[in-house]
Amino acid sequence: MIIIKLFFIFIFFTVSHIQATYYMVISDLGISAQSIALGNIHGYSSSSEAIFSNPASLINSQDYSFSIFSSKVMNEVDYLQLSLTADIDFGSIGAGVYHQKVTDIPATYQYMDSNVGQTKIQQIGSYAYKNSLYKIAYQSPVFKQSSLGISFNYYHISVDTVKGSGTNFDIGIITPLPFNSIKTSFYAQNIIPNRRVNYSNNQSELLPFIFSSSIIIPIYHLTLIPQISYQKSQVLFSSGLSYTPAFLPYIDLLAGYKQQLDYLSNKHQKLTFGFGLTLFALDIYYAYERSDYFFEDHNTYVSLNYEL
Amino acid sequence: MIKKLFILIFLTIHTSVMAELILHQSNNFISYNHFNPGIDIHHNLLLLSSSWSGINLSIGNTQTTNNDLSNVRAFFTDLPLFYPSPLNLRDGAVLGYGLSRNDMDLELRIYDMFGFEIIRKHFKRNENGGLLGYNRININQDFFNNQSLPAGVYFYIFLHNDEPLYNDKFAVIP
Repeated sequence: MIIIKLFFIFIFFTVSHIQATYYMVISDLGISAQSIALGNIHGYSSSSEAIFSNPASLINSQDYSFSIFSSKVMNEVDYLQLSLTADIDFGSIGAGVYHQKVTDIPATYQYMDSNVGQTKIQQIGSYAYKNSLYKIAYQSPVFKQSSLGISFNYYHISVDTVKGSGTNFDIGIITPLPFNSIKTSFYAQNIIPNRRVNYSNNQSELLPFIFSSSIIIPIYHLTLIPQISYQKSQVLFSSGLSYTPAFLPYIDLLAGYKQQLDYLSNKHQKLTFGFGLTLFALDIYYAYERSDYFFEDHNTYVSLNYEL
Repeated sequence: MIKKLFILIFLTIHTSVMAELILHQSNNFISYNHFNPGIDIHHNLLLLSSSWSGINLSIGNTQTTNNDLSNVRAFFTDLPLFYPSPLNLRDGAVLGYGLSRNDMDLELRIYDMFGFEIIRKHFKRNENGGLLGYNRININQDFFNNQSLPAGVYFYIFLHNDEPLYNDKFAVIP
């Protein structure tokens, strides 16, 4: 309990209530198909993707773990996550990259149309947008079967010729409760207050502090994971449910409910579904959710984990 | 007498071809509606005469007042574009586009990179955003209900009568 108290004291002094434009952390989309299918809950990962979530959950990964997650949202935004972790004598280490990319954004100029005496806009070319999150993580077991993880974040963004970058740290704890197999996860992102992504046009955006706490409750072949999180002065609820049938132990059926903030910090809620399939050392996950986008009814996600 | 005879012969053999020319606001030829498909004019369209009515000139901006555009298809004569690109809301930006009709009610939906719809705007006919010709919409924090917009790419769709008319994207920097 001491370590949890220390964790909360640290978080208390970290939280800031600055009204500012926040940098959008791209991993808010979800770190993998499994995570999305479970309502974007943290602390339940069992592979290298955990470095983009609560790094303390790396305690669940094997000696070596590799994860890849890819999706295309609205047929325009490419997401790609790659991560790798390895066990060492005193815990686990890992590294990963999460990309978000859009191409063919119109570059424009204004001209005077003398025929109508009006200023009009015309396209003169196109450019690309790329947002990347690089992570290095370390996880160590601590006393009483608890796990502590910390990760270093490097943010980099480029929009045409404008570039921005910033750094911060995440910290997480997973600790068992004195009940039957129940675990709690505490995860804080961007714990150094008032750190910013600084842009080449002398502007900046604040890296948001995000705190999430979840409880992992196994009930027979079900696992229920309710979560509460705090970010940008808003409280969000999520919950995940995983079911592994006794007669098909290599299949996981997943469902989730999530509240999520959009780019304007408005709250949205969604139901998510998915499944996982374990084939020897390979885990394949698929997730489904409804889409707001006019041209698409749904978003689908696929991720692969390879454990050695 | 011979001159009158020539005129009579010319009028007798001449078959008028009814067609409606559709002109861009800047007088660029766009297309025509052919009302007499029995006569092939596709390769031999000759404009013998034209008559204009109800043309109103004001500060160099030509506007027709004889606007029977009910047969004109609803489309963008100038495709929607944002300037500058990428834009920032501190300095503001402009969304510009041209409309082929004066009776178009438009709906604009904007989505973020997670696929969430973040704002929906309506532009009514004969108001800024729904005018025949070129429209310029100011894009600033007011447009987004005084909320700041993080750096990223945003996707928009213009709808007319609940049908998609055009979709594209724009980028925002701080």
